[in-house]
Order: sequence, then structure tokens, then C-alpha cells
Amino acid sequence: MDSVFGKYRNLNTPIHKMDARLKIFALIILMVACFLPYARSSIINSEGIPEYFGYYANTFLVLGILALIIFIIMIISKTSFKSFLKSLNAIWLMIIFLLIFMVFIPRTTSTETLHPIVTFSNGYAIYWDGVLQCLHVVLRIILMLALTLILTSTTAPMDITYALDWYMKPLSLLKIPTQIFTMIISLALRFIPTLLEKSQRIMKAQKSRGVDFNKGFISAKVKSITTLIVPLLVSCFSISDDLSVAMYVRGYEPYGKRTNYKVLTFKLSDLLAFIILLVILGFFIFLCVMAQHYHINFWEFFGIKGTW
Amino acid sequence: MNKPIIEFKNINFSYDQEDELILKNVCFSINEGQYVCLIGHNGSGKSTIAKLLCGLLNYQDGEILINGIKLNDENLEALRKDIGIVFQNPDNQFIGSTVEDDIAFGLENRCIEREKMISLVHDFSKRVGMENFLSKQPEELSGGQKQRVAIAGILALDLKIIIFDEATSMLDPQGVEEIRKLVFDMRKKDPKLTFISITHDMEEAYLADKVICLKDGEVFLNDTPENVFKHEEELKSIGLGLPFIVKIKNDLLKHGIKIDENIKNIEDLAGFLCK
Amino acid sequence: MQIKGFNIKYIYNENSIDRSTALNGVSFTFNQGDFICIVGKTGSGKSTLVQTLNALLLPSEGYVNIDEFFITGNKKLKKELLKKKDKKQKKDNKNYSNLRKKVGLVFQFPEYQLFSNSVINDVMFGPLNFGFSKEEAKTMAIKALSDVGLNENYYEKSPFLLSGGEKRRVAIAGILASNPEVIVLDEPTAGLDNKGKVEIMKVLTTLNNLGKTLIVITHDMSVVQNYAKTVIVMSEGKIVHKTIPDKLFDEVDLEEYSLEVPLFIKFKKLLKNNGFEGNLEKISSYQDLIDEIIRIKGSKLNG
Repeated sequence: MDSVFGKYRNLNTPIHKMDARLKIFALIILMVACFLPYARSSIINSEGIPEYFGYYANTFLVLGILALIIFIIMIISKTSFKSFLKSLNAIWLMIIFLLIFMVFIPRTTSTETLHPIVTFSNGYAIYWDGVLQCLHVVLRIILMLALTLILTSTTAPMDITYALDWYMKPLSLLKIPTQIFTMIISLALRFIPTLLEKSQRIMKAQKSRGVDFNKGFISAKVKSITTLIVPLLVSCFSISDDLSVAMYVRGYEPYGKRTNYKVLTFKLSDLLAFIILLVILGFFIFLCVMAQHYHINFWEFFGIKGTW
Repeated sequence: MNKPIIEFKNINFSYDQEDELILKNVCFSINEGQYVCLIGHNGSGKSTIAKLLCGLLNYQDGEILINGIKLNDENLEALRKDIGIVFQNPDNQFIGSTVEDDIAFGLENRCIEREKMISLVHDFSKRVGMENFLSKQPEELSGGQKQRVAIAGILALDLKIIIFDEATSMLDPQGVEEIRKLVFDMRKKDPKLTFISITHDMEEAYLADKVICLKDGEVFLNDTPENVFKHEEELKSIGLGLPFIVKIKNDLLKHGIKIDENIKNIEDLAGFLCK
Repeated sequence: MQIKGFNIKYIYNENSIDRSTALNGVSFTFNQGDFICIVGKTGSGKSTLVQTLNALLLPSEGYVNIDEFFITGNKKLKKELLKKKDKKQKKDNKNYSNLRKKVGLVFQFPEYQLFSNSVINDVMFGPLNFGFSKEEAKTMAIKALSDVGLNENYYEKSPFLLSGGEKRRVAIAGILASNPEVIVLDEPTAGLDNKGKVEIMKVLTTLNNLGKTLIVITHDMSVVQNYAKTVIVMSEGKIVHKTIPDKLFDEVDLEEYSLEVPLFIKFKKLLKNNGFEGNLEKISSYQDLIDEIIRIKGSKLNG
């Protein structure tokens, strides 16, 4: 858990000081930018030949620009690259999965026009199209991961909760009790580290009783996981018992009115950041429209002619 | 100060009608500003009393009066606003994600304005010596520090009655000492504060104004510490020892060394023995 | 069998900013049949130390040696230590599951490790993991349960419905069942009332009398005084004192290490400061103190 989402580090950088609402907005904007299509609408060029590099180069170039922007934000926010690499560890499985599926399955149906890199005796083949397609999906996922990591490592969990609360405010007009939802998230965030620590402890205790969490076939694994999950659930229940009592005696009522100790403030610098974000979004939408509708690659703006 | 703030009158309690009674005909009263220790073996009903007091359990038989008003379903919400509890497990009662959020939690529930909250959080974190830890998360704190935060959260609510339900039993000696000092300081600052401590610690019980000892759901002894600890054998039978000072006085008396009645702490005793 | 530690260092989060040194050069020898209490304030490294004993944590530097096992996380050192050893020993040192059979570790609040639907199944779990057959495991579990004072009425009960003290005894039995030679316990009496405390300590003393080595972390000085044979004081990742309980209060200034000072020691100091005429030097227990006061005061009364 910890390694995937990263841990909040209490530093004092401009990114840390940014309004959490704005940071969530920025996350969404940059994620959208990650997922806009930057390739021309067809891989087949005017002469009827598939043209991989001309088709993908634009995507990789634009994603490269985005990666650079995210990299700069990471440096400004002092996000630890180590924890970033660690979080990549967690998605290896997904990447391999993608590779297997995409490398063998080209996107277009007219396979005869695509050049395979290797053809196997049983008719399967690896295509350039599949490889490049896979690579750019992986790149997008990595960029998204980096963005999420920046958010979680620069924003206190509570601030994220407050920000989400703010975004959900319109729902309360529909009589949806958003404050309960916020409370649930904030309590979950509060107890994640506690439960993590507990699970580590239980694992160690079970190791002392001869459990090897890494070894064994599936049935053995299921058994060893049970020895972790059951005690963890038991302590979850005891925590929730204690916690509900503690909240009750301190006057918490789920549907009651409350005031807020922490208030998010939108500063002038946030406004500036907001404008920059809009410009960035505009820029990427522009690139997307240019490629999709007018078949103009990014580099052609600079007078560099032709395809590869 | 002799006004009773809490009165239990003939309380019988069980979770289920068929179940054995957890509290049997419990009667006692506690005056405003008193420091009362509830002692007894595990399962003697000490914690049940605390739960009844703050409305976590409903009683069917008998009467509980708080400030002279009978506690019932209608006025429960109003009356329990005067009572705060600190529980045993420091982790499970830490609600906020940081020290300041946790202290503010109860204030938020009472709809205190933000400006006032900020100053209250500031004042009471100072009272418990946690003013430099305001933005710390619970994982960064020791057990004793977490309990101090819990106490600050309760003190900030300006309550009349504070209950410690074995609040120090999971702490290390340093933590226990921190909390002990804090309680002493707390009572000195606010002499009208009624303080009930459920404890296994006989040294603490000896310092109280009054000790209520429970045995199998019944009030077994209810007196000043001196008088309660005269019942050495009875206490021993339910697994409770004696405070050091009482023990040493008894042991010396057995050998014919009589100690002055008024000596109530080891400093005085040492002085007396060296005369 | 002896347990030896050679200049053990352990660092948490070695490569990150939260890096903290938990053990800073600890060396020790624990003899078979000893009853060792480790005391020290929170964060002094005592929990880390005991976790290296059954290889739950591997020392960053230095090593622990128990019979054929060498426990270290330092690959170069480990290679060197195992250089001249035979194949079996090398295999044993690969994963330490055989070591864990020998050295049982009971964590603080061990009731959190219970998971089974019945007491007997839970206690049998350890032996089964260590490769004993079902029948053997059952016999071992029954023995362990009787060691901790739980009879057959408990076998089929759910461990989650027991009282706090009973749960703890079941959890301890879960470790005892594998019949380890060394039993390590982290705060076995924490959170128990006086009665529960005495019961647990009785069980431990019996085990010690049977020849098992016991290593107990505690902050309860009455446990140290009444049950330990050897006491070790830890502070800031180091062993600062190793002595016998009788001498502990004399030799070591407990306050210096933020440890609980027993009241009779506090009282002794007060007497000393007040110029008590008796001989207070050799007093190491409450009874000694009473005897000395009676000797002085009683003789005066008689005379």
C-alpha cells in the first residue's frame, strides 16, 4: 500500500503549499493530457502503406513533453525518485500482462499490411504496431503513477479529504450526506499506517510459528494469508469498536452539524497556478486536435518537414 | 464542594435479561471536584460503570443522577456533554490525522467557531506539553504522547467530569509518569473538575480522595484510601495488593514498630524512621 | 547451547531519510538455562535485538550465532562465516525455519496472532508448519496447553471468546508447542492485572526450571526482581549493563535510563538522605529493607 501510493512527506515546497483542491484539479488535468490521443487517426498513410514511426512519433514526443513537465514538478516538489521507482515495482505485473496481450495483437485488422518483427511457426507474430502501442500505454501509466505519487507525497491525507469534500459539496444539495463520506475516507487514511504496522507485526509473529509467506503453492499461500487476514480482521473490529465509542463520547453525530478546524484557502499563487494549468491543458488539447483532425504532427509547427 | 455530582442508586445491570447481572445493586455518590479511583478485578464491572455514565449503555433498573438530574433517554445528549473519557488503547482513540486535528475533533462536533477552536487547540496542546507536535501524525508519537493528546481533546471541551478507563495500562513507565503529572496539574488548575480513574495501580488509588472497590458487580468497599486498604485480606482475595506505604506500615506494625497515623507518603515515613 | 552476538548493528530504513540506528554494536553471550530480563526505555533497541535472535531481522553488521546458525544480513560476512561449513549447515542458514523451531519468539500482545477456530488447532499450527505429523502436533499442543495451565475444556473453544489473560496463554502455548529450546518474550505481562501477571510468570519459571533458556523483555521491575537470573540494561542501541537482579538496583542508576525505580529503592534512598543509622548498602529487596529497619528500630524499642 505504502509503496504504491507513496507517503506524505512534510516538506515546504511551492507544490506542498498549493491548495489541495487545485492539486486534485491539476491531477485530473494532467491525467487527461496523458490520455488524449496524439496520433493521427490512421496508421495507413496516403499511399496506403502503414507508417509506424510517423504515426507513433508524435505520441511519444508529446508524452515526452508531458514527462518533462511532470519531471520538473517532481523536482520542485522534492518527490523522492526512490519511492517513485518503488511504486513502479508494484506495476511490473501489469506491464508484463500488457506486453503479452498487445505485442501479439496488432490494432488494425489488416495484418498483412503490417510488418511483423518475428513470425513464429504457429502463425503468431510480433508486430511493430503492437510493441509501440504497448510502450506508449505503459508510458502513460507510468506518468499517471508519477502524478498520483506527487499528489500523495505533497498533500497531507486530510487535505486531500477536505478537497474531496469540497468537490462533493454540490451533492449535499441532493441531500446526499457527503460529510459522512468524508469522515469515512479520513478515518481510513488515518488507520492505514496503523493497520500496516499491525499486519507487519502479525506476519512476523506467524513467521515465528514457521509460516513462510513467500514459499509454497497456492493452497499453502492461501493458508498462510489466512493466518494474516483473520487476526487483522479481528483487530480491525476491535479498533472500530474502540473508535466508535471514542467518537461518540466526543460528541460525534454522523448527521449532525459540525464546524471545520481546517479550512482550505485559495491564495493568489494558486490562481496563478490555475491559469498555468489551463494553458497547459489548452496546449495539449490543441496538439490533440491538430493531429487528429488536421494530421499535423507536432514538429511540423517548427517547419520540420516530412515523416520518418 | 460537597455537592454530589454523580449518584448511582440501586443500579442493576445486565446486557441481556437472562444474563447474569454485571452490576448488582450498585450505590455510590461522587462529589464535585473529587478524585475517585475505581478498583476491582477484571470483569468486576468497573468499565460498565463508566459506560453507563456516558450513555454508551442504557440502564433499566435503578437511578443515575448527574448533577442532581436523573439520566434518561431525553436528557442523555445534554448530560453527556459534561463527561469525557480517556480509554486504554492510545492508538484506537486517536481520531484525527494529526495532533491538532485530534484535539479539534470534539470542538468541531460542538460547532465551535474556527477562530476560537484555533486558540483552544493552541492552549490545550500547551497544557499537555504537546504544543510542538501539532502537525505530527500518530505514528510519530509515543503511547504517552498519544494519551496526552486525548486528554487535551477532552480538556478543551470544558467538561465537569473526566473518566480514565485504565488510561495508563498500556503505557511504559515514562508514559505513566507523564500522565500522572498531567492529572495532578489538571486538578490543581481546575479544582471543580471531578476525576474518576479506573485503575489497577494501587499507588494511584492511594492518592485519591475516595476509593470504590468492586467485587463481582457489587460495591465491596467505598471509603477513603486509608480505610479501604485496611482490608488487606479481602483485597488479596480478589487479586489486589496494597500500596507500598500501607504495606510497609503494616509490616513494621507486625514487629511492634508503630507509625504515626498522619504519615501518608514515603518521604514523611523516611523522616519519621530517622528521628 | 549458547547464544552469542558479535557486534550487532541494525539500521531501520537504511537508504532513506527516516534512517535510524536501532542497534549500535551489541555483543553478548546467553547461556543455556538462563533467565534473562532485558530492560530499557522505549526505543532503546530491545525489541530489535530479540528479533535478530530468530532471524526476523537480519543484522546489517555483525552476527548472532546459535549452534549451527549464523544470523546476519551482511552477505560478505555470511559467506565468510559459512566458508568451511558443510552442505547441511549452509542449507540451514539459507532460510531460517529450522532456527525458528529452536528459538521461539512471543511478541507483545501475542493474542493478535490467533487465527484458528479452536484453541487446539491454533496451538497445533506451529508444529505442523515445522513438519511434525498431525498426531505429533496434537500431543505437543496438548502438552503446551497444560504447561500454560489450560485443560481439555479449552481445546475446542474459540480463542476469540476467551478472556485477555487466557488468550495470551493460548498464544504463548502456540510458541511452546514446537518445543523450542529458547523462548523469547516481548512484554509478556503488558496490560494484564496482577493476577494474570503472576500466572504468566509462574508458567515461565516452570519452563525455565525444565532447562529452557528464557529471554524476557519487560519494564516491570518486580518481574526482573522476582524471576530473572540475569538482567541486561539497554540504552540507545547498546547493552550498557549486564548484572544479576540483586545487584541491579545498587549498581545501576535506573533513573538515568528512564526506567521505573521500585518504591523500596526510592524509600531506601530517602532513608539514606535522612541519615538512617542502619546499614543500607546490601539491601536488594523489600524484605531486606524491612528486616534492616526492624533490626535498628526493633532493638531500640526492646532496649
